[in-house]
This record gives sequence, structure tokens and C-alpha cells, in this order.
Amino acid sequence: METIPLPHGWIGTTSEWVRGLGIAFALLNLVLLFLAWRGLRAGAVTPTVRGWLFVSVGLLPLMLAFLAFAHGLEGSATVASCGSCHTMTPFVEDLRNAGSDTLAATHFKNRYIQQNQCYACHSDYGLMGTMSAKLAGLGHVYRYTTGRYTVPIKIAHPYSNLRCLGCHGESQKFLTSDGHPKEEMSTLTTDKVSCLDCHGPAHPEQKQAARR
Amino acid sequence: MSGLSRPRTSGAEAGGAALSPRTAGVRVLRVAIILSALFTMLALAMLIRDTPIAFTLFMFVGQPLFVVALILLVGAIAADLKARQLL
Repeated sequence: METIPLPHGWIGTTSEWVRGLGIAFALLNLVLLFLAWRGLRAGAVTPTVRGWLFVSVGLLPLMLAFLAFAHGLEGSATVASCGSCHTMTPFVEDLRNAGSDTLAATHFKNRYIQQNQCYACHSDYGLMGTMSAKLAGLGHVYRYTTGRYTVPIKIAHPYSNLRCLGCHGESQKFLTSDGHPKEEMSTLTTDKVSCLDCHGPAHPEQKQAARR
Repeated sequence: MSGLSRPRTSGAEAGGAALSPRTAGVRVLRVAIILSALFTMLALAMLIRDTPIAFTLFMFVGQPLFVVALILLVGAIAADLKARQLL
């Protein structure tokens, strides 16, 4: 397949700039910290050392904290981040498999969701959705690091239809489909019937090889 | 003569290390530098390879280290200003 050319005047994404600036600031800060440390060897705090200290302990780390936080927050939502734990490997492989007919793969190969596909489907909408997804992610890191998880991996709570309806709910394809009669809509919004009952499976069955 | 106060024994003579306010200030600043360096390295590791574990370490270890370093720096500045009777 031919690669789609980038727009004219492309200078990278905001995320790439945040990352690049962050790395540059971090390296610069390490140099300044070294200079400040050397300056303190004499036992006196000269105005020059005071300046280095102000920049390397106060100013630059503050900017670095902001850049690294922004990068980390965005990076933690990517498919690569989810796939970095080996328990997720079969899910990510299926997601990227153009021959797969699972719901996840269908959304991925048709670009129904352009980026952060795991996060888009596994987090609720709005600020609270982001916060609860991050808290859940923290729990995942803890359980993965300490080995306190059971296999096969299961979703922690029943999958809410509202996550599907956030994108599909107002599309004409959904509204005019015979499979979604208006009088039955309340059964979907209240999760009495799951979207996955008709449109699943979302992911492949976990094989033994994918287990711990 | 017996009524005259005797000079106090210095900490060094007593066996302990005597710390002048200036030496103590330098030591505090050195700790601040070490903490800031640790924070910077955690941030750098996270920026180079943004795994969930690196991000968690940065958030829950790195950032508190930075806050402590900043408090130490502000404390050292305040102590310095007090010593010069500017505060």
C-alpha cells in the first residue's frame, strides 16, 4: 500500500514536540545540576551557583514536570501502552489483524476509531470517565507488577452500552437500522440487552499461550 | 576569675561534627540537587519509553521528590535571607 503523504509544511505532532522538548529540558537540567553540585564543592554559595540552583531545582523541573505529565497522560492512552503488558498481547495482535472479524479488529481496520482504540472503547465519556480510567489503569499496573491477577483476563465490570452509543447512538446508520427499533431503545440504554449480544465478540477467546 | 563564663566547647571538640549554618545550608542544597536529579532521570526515562510503569513511577515517586527538593531550596533561601537579616 502506498503511504499517504503528510500535509505540506508538516513539523510533527504536538505530542512529538512535547516529548522532544521534555527530553531536551531533562538533559539540560542534568548538566545544570552537575554544575551546581561542582559549584557547591567550595562550600560557599556564590551568586552563579545560586542561579544554577534556582534554574535546575526550581524552574526547569517545573517545566519538565508539566511536559512529562502531559506526555505521560497522552501516552498512557495509546494502544502501545496497553500492549506493553504481555497479558494484553493477544488482544492487541487481534486488534491489528486485518483478517479478524472481532469487534475490536473491525473498528481498527476500518478506522472507525483513529487512535487510542483500546482507551476509546474502555473509558467512559467526560472528565469522570478519564479519571476513573486512569485510576483503573493504576490498579492494572499494580496487579501486573505484583502478579496479583488471574487468568484468563476478564473485564472488571459489565461493558456499558453507553460507550458504544456515545459514537453510534446518533448516527443515521444506527437510527435507521431494522435491528434497532425505537421502542427497544430503552433496553439498550439501560443495559438490559448488551450491544455485544448481537455484535460480538469484542475480542478473541484467550488461548493458553496468552496466559501467565 | 571564677565568675567569668567559660567559652562553650565546640561540637567538634565534643566528638560530633560541628555544622555552621553555612555548611548545613550547603548540605541541604546538595540533598535538593540529588532529589532533583532523581526526578529528572525518572522524567527522562518516562519521556524516552512511556510505559505505564514508568509513568506511575514518575507520578508517585518522581513528583514528590521534586516537591521535596523545591521545599528544601525554598528553605535554604529563607535561611540565607534570615542570616543576612533580610527576612
